[in-house]
Amino acid sequence: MYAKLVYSAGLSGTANTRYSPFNMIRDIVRLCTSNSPNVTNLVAFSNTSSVIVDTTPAGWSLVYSDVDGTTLPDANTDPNASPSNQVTYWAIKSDCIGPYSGVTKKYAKLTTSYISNKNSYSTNGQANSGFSLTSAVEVTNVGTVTGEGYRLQYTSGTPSGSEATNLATWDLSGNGTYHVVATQRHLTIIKEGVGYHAVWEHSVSDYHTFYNVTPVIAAVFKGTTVSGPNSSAPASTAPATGSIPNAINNVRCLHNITDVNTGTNYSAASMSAQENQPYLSISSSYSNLRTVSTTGTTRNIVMPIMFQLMQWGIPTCFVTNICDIYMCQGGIGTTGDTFNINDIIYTYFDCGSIGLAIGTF
Amino acid sequence: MYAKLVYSAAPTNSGNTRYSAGNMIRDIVRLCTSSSPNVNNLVAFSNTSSVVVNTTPAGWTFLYSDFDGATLANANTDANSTSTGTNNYWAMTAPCLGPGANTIKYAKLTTSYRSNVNQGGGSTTQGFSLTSAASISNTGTVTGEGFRLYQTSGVTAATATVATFELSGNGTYHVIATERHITIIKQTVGFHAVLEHTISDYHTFYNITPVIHFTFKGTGFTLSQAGVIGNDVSSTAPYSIGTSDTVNYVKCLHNITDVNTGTNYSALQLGRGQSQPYLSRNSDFTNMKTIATNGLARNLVVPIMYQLVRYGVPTCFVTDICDMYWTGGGLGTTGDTFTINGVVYTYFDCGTMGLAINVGPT
Repeated sequence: MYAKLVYSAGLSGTANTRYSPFNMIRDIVRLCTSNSPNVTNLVAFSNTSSVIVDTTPAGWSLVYSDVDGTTLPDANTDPNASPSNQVTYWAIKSDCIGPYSGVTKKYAKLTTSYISNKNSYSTNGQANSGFSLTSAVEVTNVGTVTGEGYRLQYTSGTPSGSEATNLATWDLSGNGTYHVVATQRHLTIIKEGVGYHAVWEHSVSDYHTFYNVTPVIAAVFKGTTVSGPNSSAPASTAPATGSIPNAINNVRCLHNITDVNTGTNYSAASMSAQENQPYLSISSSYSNLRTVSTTGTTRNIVMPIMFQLMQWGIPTCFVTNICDIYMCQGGIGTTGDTFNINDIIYTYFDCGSIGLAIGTF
Repeated sequence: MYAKLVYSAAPTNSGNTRYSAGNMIRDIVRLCTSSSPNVNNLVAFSNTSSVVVNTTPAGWTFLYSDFDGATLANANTDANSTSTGTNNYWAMTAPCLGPGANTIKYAKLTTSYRSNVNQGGGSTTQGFSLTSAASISNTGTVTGEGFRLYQTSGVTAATATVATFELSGNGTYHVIATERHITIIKQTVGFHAVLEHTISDYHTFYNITPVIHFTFKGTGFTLSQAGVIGNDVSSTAPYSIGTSDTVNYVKCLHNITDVNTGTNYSALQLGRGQSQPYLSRNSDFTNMKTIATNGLARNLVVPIMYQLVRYGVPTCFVTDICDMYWTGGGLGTTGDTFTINGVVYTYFDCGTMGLAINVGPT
């Protein structure tokens, strides 16, 4: 399923009250869990400007929402969805190919970012309220979440100007075009020209089979740098609450990881740039993924997405082979352009200073 | 050529005065440049305990020494080779597979300490380093030499650090050399190597010698010079040691142009991530283990590679060219053999990491 969704609410909450991150999530969940995804039921995203490019069912199913429970409300009758006193979430799941096919589940959790208003950081008004996509070790149908990956959350009060800006930098928020690409292997949400949140299944290894670890990585790229909460080493801080004063632009989380050297289990582990993408230089800002041809012509580098956590015993695992996604430079074309990688046509998505090439539709 | 060389000079200067770092280098250069490498001409390493395991000529050519000039001294008549007033070096060349027909790589062996004959002071024997360079002429002009520690006049406090970095002291040294590489391992301690690697269009366009110079020493990544070689590329090679630096890990490229800026660097020091993408950033090579489906520990054997995408250099492989792999240290005893993809490799324990090298017919 590939949906190109247009969100055009005003920066403040003065427009249609159904323009909320809450209903943005509901729209996405409906699309990912539908047998016939369509724009008819969109209530936050425009149902006239949006389009379902690939209507193949994504193959995800709703697990639980702390607002809606186990049943999503009808799009035609649901109220505006942002409550006033808590961060809220919707969790969906899908099967993994391995290590125990059909039994191993991966989870995608979509969570609103802010607590006390509906449509905007009203006090400071820098950006619309938004949402994050994470994964977890497990989300039950009664709302027990274990081993959730890294995301920012605000606990109480009203964020300051810089806090609101940081939060808005992190989450998926504001007017623009959102590309939701989902198959049973992955859920990738791109805000065009800005960044992406994704839950990706990856290849398994004996390590995954022995520990029965769900082969999934949650990846977030926002903005133009790789600064983050864990730029130097894996951290066991997830589920982590980002410090709002910190601008966080780049995160990748594994879940239910055991260090083979110590036997220590981490419900979630957030990794550094090196471990996430071995092809990249340590200090690369993703803005110089270029080489040169024999004639001196500039060539952009298209790279398979992979990770490793050798330090704890996890060999290199590939996202590209499972999800059919590559990483490339940002700004090398326009979102929607197509190009050929090994005789397969991929669609280019500009995610700010990096790009994704996705080939599933 | 694979020579297992034993060095057993006393740590002080009380023994045979031909037991010197300078003569260790001469012995190695003779072995690497000989058409029939043998132990007869060893003067620093034992010619009774040492053995040339693989006598296939290494294919290197002596180029120049600031001590011997363009002609190596005769092993039977050479004097003790470490002068008292300067670091001395011996340079060799070998052709590369590409990118051009005349691409030459360089190996430079340099004594580490300047003011005595056999020792770096205290209980530490003087040693030497192996580096590469962008070019070395047959009259002694060296450009773009890679990272190596050296002391300048008047610096006396860093002797132990130099000894940690260099190849020095009693022990068993393994010299494996082909036309593609020269690798010098001090058993259970570390190694210095000049390794040819695969080329890319980048190398062809800039006509860059496809060579990387590696050094691994000691038991960890003690990098007091974090700003220099810890995290990022640097163009400061060759590097003059400070009085308190401890450096155990080096990888240098030479004559690199940043495709984004056009800036050329005569030598570049890589960070860990750029040298070996398979390793975690903070791995100290002591935990290269995974696990089998039944829970048994498995050691990882990884191909040696590097990349510097930041400057436009895509991933290049050493393993494919030099026929060697990277492993954990302490997996076995040096000399053990094991099979990787149907090829028999010899294991060399280099301290906390190991190398698996196809040493050829033995």
